[in-house]
Amino acid sequence: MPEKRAGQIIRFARSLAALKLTVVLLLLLCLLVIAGTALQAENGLYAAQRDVFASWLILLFGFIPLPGLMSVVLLLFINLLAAGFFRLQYRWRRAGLLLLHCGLLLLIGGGFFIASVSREYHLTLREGESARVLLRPDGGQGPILPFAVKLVDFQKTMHPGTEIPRSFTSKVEIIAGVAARDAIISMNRPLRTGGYAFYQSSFAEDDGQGQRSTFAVVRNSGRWLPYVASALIGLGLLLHFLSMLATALKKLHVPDGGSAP
Amino acid sequence: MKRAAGIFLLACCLPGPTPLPAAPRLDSFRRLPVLEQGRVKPLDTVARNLLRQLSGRASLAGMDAAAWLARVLFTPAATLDDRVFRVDSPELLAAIGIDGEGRSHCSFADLRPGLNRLHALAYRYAGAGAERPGRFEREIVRLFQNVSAYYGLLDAFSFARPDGALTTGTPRAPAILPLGSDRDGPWLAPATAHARAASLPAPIRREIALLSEAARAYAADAEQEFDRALEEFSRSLQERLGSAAVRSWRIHLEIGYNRVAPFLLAAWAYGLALLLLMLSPLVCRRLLLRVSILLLLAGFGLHGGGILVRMAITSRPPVTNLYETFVFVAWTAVALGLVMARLQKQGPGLPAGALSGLALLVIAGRFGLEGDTMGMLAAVLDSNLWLATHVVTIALGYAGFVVAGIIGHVVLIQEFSPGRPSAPRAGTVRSLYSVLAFGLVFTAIGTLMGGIWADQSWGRFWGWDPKENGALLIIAWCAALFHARLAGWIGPIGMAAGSVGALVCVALAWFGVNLLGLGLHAYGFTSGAARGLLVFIACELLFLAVALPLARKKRHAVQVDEPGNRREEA
Repeated sequence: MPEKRAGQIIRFARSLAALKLTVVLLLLLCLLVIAGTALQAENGLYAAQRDVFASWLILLFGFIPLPGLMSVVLLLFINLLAAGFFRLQYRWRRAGLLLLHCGLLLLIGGGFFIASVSREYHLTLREGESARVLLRPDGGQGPILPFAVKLVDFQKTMHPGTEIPRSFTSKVEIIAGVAARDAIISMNRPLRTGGYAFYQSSFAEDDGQGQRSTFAVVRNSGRWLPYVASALIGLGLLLHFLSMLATALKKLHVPDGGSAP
Repeated sequence: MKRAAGIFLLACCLPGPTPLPAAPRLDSFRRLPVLEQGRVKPLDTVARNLLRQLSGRASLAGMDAAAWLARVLFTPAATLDDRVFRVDSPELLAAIGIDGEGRSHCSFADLRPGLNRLHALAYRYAGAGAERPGRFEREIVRLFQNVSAYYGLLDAFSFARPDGALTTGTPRAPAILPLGSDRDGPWLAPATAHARAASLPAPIRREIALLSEAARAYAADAEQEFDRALEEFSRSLQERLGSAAVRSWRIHLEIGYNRVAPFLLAAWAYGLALLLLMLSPLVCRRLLLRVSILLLLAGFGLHGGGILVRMAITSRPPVTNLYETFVFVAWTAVALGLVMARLQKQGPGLPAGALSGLALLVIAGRFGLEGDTMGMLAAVLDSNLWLATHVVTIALGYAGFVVAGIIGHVVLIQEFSPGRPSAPRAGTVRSLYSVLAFGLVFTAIGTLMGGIWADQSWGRFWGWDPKENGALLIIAWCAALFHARLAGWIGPIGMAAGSVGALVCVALAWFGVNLLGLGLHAYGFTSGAARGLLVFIACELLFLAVALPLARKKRHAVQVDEPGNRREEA
């Protein structure tokens, strides 16, 4: 009986949109975030990533199964999607909420997308040295860049009379074939070229051999997604908050206790 | 302005924590520019921070900090018996073999017999082996650092004294002598410069001579001579460096800021306003209400002025370190309270604003004990636009949560206290939702902006950094609250309890994360605050455990039908 089957599926999908599911998932998210942060303090970020933040299933004490953060976030995504089909009201005065939830969908979806496509590498150069091979985080060889990067000069300045760094700056040369151009990579000022972004990550002093500078190199084609999502969420939040505030202010003129049942 | 002056007078009459002592003027001394921790600041600030670090106090035996520092620098032998070192636990003294029963402060002379042992212990505790030092270990290290700081000052001007050196150590005095031709060149302590005088150019040699002249004049009690020598020294510096290197208006502004202590005054104004507000239902209702509004406004003005002055002194946005988050959130919370009170006269805006302002400023004061509150920023934090926007937005959100948390308490208490009319409560609940939403909106937007900052600086939008986790915790908790209300799981009582919970989440994100001492945001060093945080959380949980059942019971007994407006808001 296909009709009955379809009815069941729709009913199931509707139940996925339940608000109570949202609440439970959000509370689970709170718990996992606390647990992950505590774990991070004890065992470091890598262990916390592996055991909580990037995990689908957690076995507490080795045998009690709990959903990992990934599962919770995925379920939230499904819950939100279902709510978009079955629960949210598409009205103008709900525009803020709709924008906000759209943005959330994009943020979570984008997060999964970026997690699957983005790659992180690093590159360490001595002053005067040039290279085109990136290293993976585990130390293995990564991809070969379509251009060579040469570290011309590394400079760090401290706030006078202290050991607090004021800035780290690497002067590099990007050499593609015969063409070369100078570029600066510093804290908060990455270099983006050829689909790669180079961030000033750390440095080391060699005795007598000059300085070495380390760059984090990220290749991330979904980089723009969180920006769009953030804009949607921010706009939606503000819009909804202002419309709520307007309603609340209107109510102030009604005598107290007389709010609509 | 008149009002502010009134408050100022009022605060001076109160038995305040900073009596303004009739110290010698020493104005030229206070104004000397010092390079310390990367910032050129007046010697006045250095003296205050140092005295507070050593003794936990703002003044010593009627002397203010600058007067004390002058005494230590120029007549050190006279200060050996000053009880300047704060000793928190008696076992500390016992451990270094000194009998100081029940003493909270010791002098250098008191501690002298135990210095060798203190030195040995401090080196052991500060060494690499001590991973997580306990309170006792930290206290030993702190005391040792304080004694060394003082010890270094004793011979700062020994070259100018006829009787010569008092100690065998190297002098470590404030660096008041710039060597280069601009601010960023090395700055030397006077004794170091004196030792190298032969190799220095003539103007600097003359400046050293002026400093020794001042030192001798101080020892001989010749106030005018002292002032003249220092004035001439400052003039010589200005000529040598140019006015761009050491901006004298900044120095003057900072001394004025130190002297007025706007945040302290604001805290007093808020506290007084809160007291009057609590008294107002009992006597002279309208008068007390008016006075407390005036007090709040005056405190608010001073508070905002203090923030502006700090921005002018440091040329930085309002929030750049942990101390400033408290100050700024306090200010925003008071603003929120005032706005709420304007919109809803019967509402809890005034007391909630006053209480949050007071509490947060008191916490800020505690953090201010840890040294210069205008210290420099590490490279990664030093990008003004994002710092200004992201941190300030989150601080706005935190202020919303603080006020909401306080109103949550009010709602719960009103709920189980007998004989209250229910009319004002509906208004209270409405304002609770509004501030909670305010907090959520700004925390969420600020967090997303932080993500954008992180993406631009470090190449990732989100990295499970503890501070990011804290923000996510707050947002998820608050979103859960609003959805649970929409689902009909919780009503006003649940929302009130939930906003107390949100306050706990905010506290965790705010300090807890810094206390973990890791991650990219671990810029606020705190000691001893962990216990405070745990006590706070325990108290709040206890409050909820008591208040929630009581409120529910009362509600069942009275059978008040709460006007639920579920369908209108999300």
